[in-house]
Amino acid sequence: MTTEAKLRAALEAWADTVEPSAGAWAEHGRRVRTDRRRRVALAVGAAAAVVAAVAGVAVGLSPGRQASRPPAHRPTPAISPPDLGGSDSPPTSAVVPVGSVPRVGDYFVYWSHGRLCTAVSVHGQGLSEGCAPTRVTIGDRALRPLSWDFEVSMALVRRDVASASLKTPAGTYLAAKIVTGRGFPVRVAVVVDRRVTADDRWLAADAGGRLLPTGQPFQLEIHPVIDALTGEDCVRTHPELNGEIVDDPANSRCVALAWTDVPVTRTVAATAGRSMTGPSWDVTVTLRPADAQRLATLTGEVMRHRPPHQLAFILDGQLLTVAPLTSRIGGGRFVLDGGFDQRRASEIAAELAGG
Amino acid sequence: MERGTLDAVSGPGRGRQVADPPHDEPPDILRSLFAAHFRGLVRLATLLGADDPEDIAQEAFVRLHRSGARLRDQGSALPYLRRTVVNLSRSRLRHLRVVRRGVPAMPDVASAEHSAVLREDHRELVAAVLALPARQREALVLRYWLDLSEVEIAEAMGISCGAVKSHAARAIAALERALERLS
Repeated sequence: MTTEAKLRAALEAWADTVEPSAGAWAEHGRRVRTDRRRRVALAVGAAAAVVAAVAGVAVGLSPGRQASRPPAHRPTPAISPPDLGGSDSPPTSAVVPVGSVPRVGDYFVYWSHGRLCTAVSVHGQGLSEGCAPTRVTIGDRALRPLSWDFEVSMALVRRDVASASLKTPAGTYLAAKIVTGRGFPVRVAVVVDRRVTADDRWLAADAGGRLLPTGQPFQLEIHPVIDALTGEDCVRTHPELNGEIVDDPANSRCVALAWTDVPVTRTVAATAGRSMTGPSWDVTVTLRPADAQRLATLTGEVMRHRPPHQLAFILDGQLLTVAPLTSRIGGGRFVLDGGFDQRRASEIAAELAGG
Repeated sequence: MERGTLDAVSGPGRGRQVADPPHDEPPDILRSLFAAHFRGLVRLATLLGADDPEDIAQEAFVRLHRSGARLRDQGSALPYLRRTVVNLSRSRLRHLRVVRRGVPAMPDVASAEHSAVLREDHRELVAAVLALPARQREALVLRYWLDLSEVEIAEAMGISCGAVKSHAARAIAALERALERLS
């Protein structure tokens, strides 16, 4: 295949993924009206400027008027203090220089009731916890202590991982940011967000804020899309599907999915990176050989059938994205391209890659 | 496969209806042009690397509406739209280069509507196209996606036919080198 032929195929595939929004014509009308108003305003402004200039010349020619004109009032611009981002609040996380961790393993450092405490796990086995080291049992590679104090700010530190979360009095977990070293005698090592997944698996981030996998991978389901409709039309339009409908709250719609033989796959690798085709981020996914073969069969069938040639990606039971498919995907390696911000792409990659 | 000629405005999964026209603003001829070419022009702006292709296509149609003379001559409307999209995309990319020079990247807004699944080899080739200088990229897209003649490409890019040949040849050579590196 010549370079030109490859280029044609790639450009066609890429172009086919682009669809303008449904309200484009209405938007055009709005722009035309705005453009017309702007041009009218410009014309009126220009006419007013000419009149003012003529009047100014006339006034300037009047004797004695120039000297009596009061000086122009120039208000002094207000100077606002810089926003220090809540610098009066107490530190919400421990501060740990990543490079100072003395042993290879999983380290917790958390701030509890004014005390800096640690928990140490070496490959999930030898453990210590508390403000004085005590032994504690946690599961294999589970990266949390068994007990939590009221309002504990916590940091997780491994050789290459540092992350933090905040447990609220209600028992929910919030993403925490380590923003300053105030209250601790060492420099800030990390500025990260983190989240705790529904089943308490951790997603950790390294010092650069990149999420790293720490638990089991999530299951990825890939289904062909039959229809995607606004509101609850899926139920009315496709009553026979019964359970093969997923909500897409981000786009206020529902998506009707086709049943597939073995839609669940496990990934071998997933990495997030800045999209080469747009300003957003994408996720490159590699499947196991068996799953790769199934994906090739599935995508071949989707491309043979009538449109929409779309796939729904469901991660851990939640609709991840609905994406147009441009060609059969062989080899089990594909790119979920565009539409994600950096954080979401990193989360998806971490969830797919798992432990 | 769409190659700049289109028959509907709505995209997949976004509802099936085309919105009603705004009251007596754009003339019917513009509406038919819009229905026929808007999607193709959005795609053209995308392939040229614009970060907001729909905005560029919209702006091209507003300018067409402003210059009523071209609307009356349908034969010149599409070349005018193409040329406007090419120029606006180039200006937009130039502006973005300046803006991004001193400002850290802002978080991007996630939207499933803009997701896509691309084969990795296609993605690598597309990335190589996007890495080309603007003129070379324009020559390739207009030639290999829109299948325009050299004369039409020259008109859209505002350059001579010889320059079109030169840009296209250099671009293909650069792509071949990029593909060799990837393989």
